[in-house]
Amino acid sequence: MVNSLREARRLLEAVRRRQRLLEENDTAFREAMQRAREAGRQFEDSARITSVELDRRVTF
Amino acid sequence: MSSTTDRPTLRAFTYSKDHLTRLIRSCVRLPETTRQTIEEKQQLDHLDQYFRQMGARTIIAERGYTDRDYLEDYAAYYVRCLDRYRSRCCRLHFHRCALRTKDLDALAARAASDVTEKQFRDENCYLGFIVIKPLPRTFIGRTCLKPHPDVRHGALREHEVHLLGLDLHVRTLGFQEQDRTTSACATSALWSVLQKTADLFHHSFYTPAVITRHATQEIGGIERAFPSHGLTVLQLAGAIRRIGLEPEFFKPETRAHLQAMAYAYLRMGIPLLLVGSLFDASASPTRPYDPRDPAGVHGVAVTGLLAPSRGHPCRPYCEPDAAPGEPGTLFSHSRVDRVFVHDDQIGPFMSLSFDDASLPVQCPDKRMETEKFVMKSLWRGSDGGTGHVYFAPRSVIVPVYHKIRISVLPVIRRVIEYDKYVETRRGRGDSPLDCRLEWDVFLSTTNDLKRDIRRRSDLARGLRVGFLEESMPRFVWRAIGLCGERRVIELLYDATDIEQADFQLPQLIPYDSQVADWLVG
Repeated sequence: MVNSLREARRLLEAVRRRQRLLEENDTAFREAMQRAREAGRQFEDSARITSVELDRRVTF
Repeated sequence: MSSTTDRPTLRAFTYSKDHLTRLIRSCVRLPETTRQTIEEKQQLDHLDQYFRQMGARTIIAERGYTDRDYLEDYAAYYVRCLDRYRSRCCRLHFHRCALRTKDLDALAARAASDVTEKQFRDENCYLGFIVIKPLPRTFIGRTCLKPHPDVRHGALREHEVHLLGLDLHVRTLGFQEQDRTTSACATSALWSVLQKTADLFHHSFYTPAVITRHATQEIGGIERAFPSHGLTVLQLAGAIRRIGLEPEFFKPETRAHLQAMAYAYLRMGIPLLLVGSLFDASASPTRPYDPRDPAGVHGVAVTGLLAPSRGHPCRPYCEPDAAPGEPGTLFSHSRVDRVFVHDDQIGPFMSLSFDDASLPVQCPDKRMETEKFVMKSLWRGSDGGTGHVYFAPRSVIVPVYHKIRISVLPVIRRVIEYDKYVETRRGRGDSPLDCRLEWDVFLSTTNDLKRDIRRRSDLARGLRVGFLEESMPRFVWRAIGLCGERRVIELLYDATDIEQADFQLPQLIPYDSQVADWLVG
């Protein structure tokens, strides 16, 4: 049971440490994380609008 | 043009479409406003359907009503016309109780009546009002009607209505149609959105004429300000900046994008501006979508959404070229199957549904997709029927407080990564998690977060107190990992930080301590 805010911070640090270790030492895990990063990047990039894509002259 | 004295009088009528039409005509009192002019308006059909669904039984006509929004438009334009347009309006109230004019007289005189004050003021009975402007065709003014029960996470605010010295309340978001003089659809949509952001971010209320003036002063074009023939997206952005908010622009390429955006911001009550092309496929359902030739570009305010309960399965999000069998990420927003919009040409809380509709694109160039994601609208097609006019979203603009610097996109990106960590671990066995996590991602104020944490009995007392006493940013992104209805863990992101930094807040909320132990093991 996490009983304090300090423990909640330690918990997040521990999860991150665990994730880093797995990425460094486990090829299958590293590849899975790379695929997830690519999916996240695609989601973000495809929804970003550039000023060129804006319909600057269309009125409505 | 007739000139009459507008004496304030209240009269009650039994609700029917015919009575509504007659009342509108008698309120407008202009020769151009015939019964046919009124009946041809699609807004009338939409409103009548709403009143029948909501069980409206009475219309109360309040003549000689002064409406601030119309008065500004009147001062900006109509007062200088040779024809003497009137400055005062009519307000039509809608009630579920059967009321007669003599009941209203008795309520005014505090005399005995069949209808008590309590019944008259009952928030379940009072449906709201429509201001009828004395203009020939675009007479639907400020409209505040209680949303349909289907509307979830509506961007609503409390409206106090004063009638006969009594205070009535309706929780909704204002709607009005463009008058094509001081406002176009972009102005009407932004006007609705700003009604709510004024409440959330404490700015003034702006009338359509002022919004148009701000927009055209900020970013000028060759078009004149009044009469207004529309605004560009850049002018909309200028009008938003002028009042101290920041426009967050997005391109909703897919259904998943629009679901994520609508859900994430509406959960905090922030409405969105949605700009899209209308495409009429009623003549030929197989006609491909031609982006160079839309039937029209239109702007609406996204004011609520409909999402089935958690019992319905989520649609996993995968990248477009994901390998077969890739499980993707489960997001609560993937259940949103329609959004409700204030569409000035149809009415308040009109449904735009995600029904897997996509149209082939004619002559796509290399940068363009071969299929366009579209939504089914309630617009009438060239055949007079509904169901074949599609709305193809082009851009989303969210007016946010300047301190909300991180948008929904990088948050979703990080949650996708985090979910992969959990799922990969879970796939290797020994997991106390008996289901895949579903992520509920939304923007929140810290005050709302703390209010929620305070109520959680599944958190240790020390942790709860620690959160409540902790200094936190004013706005946070919440990503709650759920197993069915049960909360498992929560990630928090600082919405006021910068994207290049690690903007995750340094705490992980462990609703399920067994899972928390497993995550670090």
